[in-house]
Amino acid sequence: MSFFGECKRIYSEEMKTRISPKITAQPTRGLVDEKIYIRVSNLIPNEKITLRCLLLSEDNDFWHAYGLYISDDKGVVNVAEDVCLGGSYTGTEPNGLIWSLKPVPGSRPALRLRKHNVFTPFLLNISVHKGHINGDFKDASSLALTVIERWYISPGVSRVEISENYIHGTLFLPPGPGPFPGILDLWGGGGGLVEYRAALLASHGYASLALEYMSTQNTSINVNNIGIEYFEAAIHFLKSHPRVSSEQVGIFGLSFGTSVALNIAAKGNRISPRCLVCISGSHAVKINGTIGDVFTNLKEEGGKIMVDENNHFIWKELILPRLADPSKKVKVGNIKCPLLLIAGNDDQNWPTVDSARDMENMMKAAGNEHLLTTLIYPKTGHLIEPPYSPHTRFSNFISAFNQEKVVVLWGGQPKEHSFAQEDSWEKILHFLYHHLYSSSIGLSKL
Amino acid sequence: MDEPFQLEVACLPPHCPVTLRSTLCSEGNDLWESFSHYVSDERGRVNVSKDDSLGGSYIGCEPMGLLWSLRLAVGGRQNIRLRKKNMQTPLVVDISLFDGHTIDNFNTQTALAMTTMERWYMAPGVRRIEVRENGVVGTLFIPPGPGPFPALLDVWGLAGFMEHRAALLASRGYACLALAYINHPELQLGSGMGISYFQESWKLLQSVPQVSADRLGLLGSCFGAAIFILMASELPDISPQCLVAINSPSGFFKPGEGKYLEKMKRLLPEPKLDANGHLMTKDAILAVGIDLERSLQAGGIQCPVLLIVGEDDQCVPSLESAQKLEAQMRAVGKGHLVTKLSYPEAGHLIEPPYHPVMRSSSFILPGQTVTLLWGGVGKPHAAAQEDSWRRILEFLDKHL
Repeated sequence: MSFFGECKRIYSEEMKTRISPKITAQPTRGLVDEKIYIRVSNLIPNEKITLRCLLLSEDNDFWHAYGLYISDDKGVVNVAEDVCLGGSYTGTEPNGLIWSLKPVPGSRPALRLRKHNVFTPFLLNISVHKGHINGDFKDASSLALTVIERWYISPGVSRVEISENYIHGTLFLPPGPGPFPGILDLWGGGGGLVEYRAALLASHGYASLALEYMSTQNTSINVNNIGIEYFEAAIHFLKSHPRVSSEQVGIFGLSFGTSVALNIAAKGNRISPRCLVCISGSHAVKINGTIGDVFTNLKEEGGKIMVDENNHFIWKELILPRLADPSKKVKVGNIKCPLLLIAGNDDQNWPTVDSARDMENMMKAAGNEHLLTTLIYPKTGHLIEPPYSPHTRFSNFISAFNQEKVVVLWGGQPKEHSFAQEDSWEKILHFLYHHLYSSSIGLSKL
Repeated sequence: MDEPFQLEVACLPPHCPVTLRSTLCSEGNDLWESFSHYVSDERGRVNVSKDDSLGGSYIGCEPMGLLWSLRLAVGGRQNIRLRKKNMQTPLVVDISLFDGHTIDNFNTQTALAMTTMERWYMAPGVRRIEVRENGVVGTLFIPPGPGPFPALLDVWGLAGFMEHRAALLASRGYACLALAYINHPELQLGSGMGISYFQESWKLLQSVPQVSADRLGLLGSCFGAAIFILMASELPDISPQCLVAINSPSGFFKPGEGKYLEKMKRLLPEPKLDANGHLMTKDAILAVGIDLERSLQAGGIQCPVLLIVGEDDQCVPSLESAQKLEAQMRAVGKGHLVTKLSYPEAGHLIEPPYHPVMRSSSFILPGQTVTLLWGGVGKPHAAAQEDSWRRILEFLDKHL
């Protein structure tokens, strides 16, 4: 059967003669942290249209975002400059169609959008629809459509699976001979091996090791057998890698990963990181024995576990009482490297703002506060991810420690949280460049 | 592929001489390379979009020089055009940085740094459909979305069938049928299909559901363009909204009923060879033009025409053809429809932007392989590719 027979559609005569609207989006292929530029032309002047972004996640859920616009006198909508009148975001938001992505109506509840395979992109279908549509696109046919790809990894970056000397993770290396500055990339209590941020950091020129330290599948990484030495071994691995510059290795942590980073840096032995990026974490988590012990102890302080009106768990007060007890806190006064501390003041999961203030005080008293830069963002929650990840206010959570399945409240409001992600990432890249690249000559960067 | 890129080097010592080298491994497994010499500024940076190259494959401020000055590496096959057959994968270009100003033996040196760039002909969402219908052989590229889209028929010269420009045009919003008409194993007449074949192709494109049937154009290079000019001028059922002809020998050839290669061999006097033994066919074609009956009358064209001319075209008398065509249309009061873009020092192979520039390459004729001289000089030819593409897209946007 001919291909024409296969794709026959019925077009009205009017549709065939009208010049169809054209939508262009740049870059057609880019990294997830690149800004997008979307432009619609050939519309009727002052026409009401709806722009929609649709994505199918690897978990087979549909996510979408949409904005209501009115074309100008020339029949053009320019998302970077025009005002969005409603939808999943409002105002002048050049990247709103990405960061305001939410599961489509009727989806499973409490989802979080995360990329598992970094070697395929997120495919975003961006379509233009007639009129102002409020969320229900079931019967809405599009006037025009374009597709863009969003990648966590740039061409040339290589991925190496690491399972030697008992450390388990994935190393991402930028293209070229190196040597490159290195980053140990640590996530939190959800466990598993999360690769996308390390892949993104490698795309910016850093040899990045995504480390797995809590696993339900891989029994060799049992939190009851792992202590701080496991992470030190990971840093040692990075430092002695032939393509890594051993003097330029830092740690990037989120949530529990931040606590690990602070513990290592405060120890002040041979394993001294060059700099630290600590997001949404606390120094009130001291690692004395195994990680398993640490997690067991989290609940034994008399701190409160609360739930909100939807029965979503709020854990931010769990370790709050520890802030009053010096013996329970990492001695951040001993840290000898620059530290970038990032927190959201609507974090419902960890007491990150209180911890940040307390850390500031401790470092002032110890005389090393010149090393500290603190960024606290309003209406921003716990999951401060690379831009333009959709904001997740709450989601399903399975603790890798005890396999508890709950819905956790992370906090934050979409617009402010997305701004925090965009702004903090820019500052993080500057910080890393300043401390891991430009402070030494001999590392060239293309 | 037609997008410019920015390339910056940082963290060098100030005022440090460096060499940037680009390499590409083609589908035919040939290594292409280009290199240029820069000196870092007082902050230890090089910005290829703003700084001057002091030597190498190109000189001066050339933001895209590392692409268009790519040449086949010494030691491998020579004289072959860069051709990509698979549109669904990118060209991968590696760019490396070396200390000092080097001109060769790169493989024995350690690069200071490296990065990789992907260049694509097909944007995400563009659909590629092989067409074998009613005897028509080609590939259709359709932009994403419901359409309907303006559409183009795309042909090349006697070299045969290439998809890359059609893929790019679809990435820019035009449903584009890259049409094979010569030298293709699935065509009835390997030496060239006749006019009725092109009529069939036109009808086919019109009938594609995603195509807006009254917004069709013709875009061709070389001999293919000559055929299109004939169609637009003499066939009443072919009424394009616009026509783009790149280096067409139209003033001197009447394409007729097909079998072009055989006819050319019969009709053309022996072409001259230049100092390198490369074939220059331009004068031979010029000589044919004396016979008026054979030359193409373009006065019947009803639509805007964009003529792209490389003045250093050594393959066909492109400038003379364009002048002739303009004169013919002026004679019937349609001179205002013609726009002629004439590029000094540009040759015959005016490709989409940033394509490596080749002054001559090997060409397979029935019974023998020769080296054809295309003409064109590096920098001006690259600039012509960039400028003409921009003008083509503007022209298509305006008329379709």
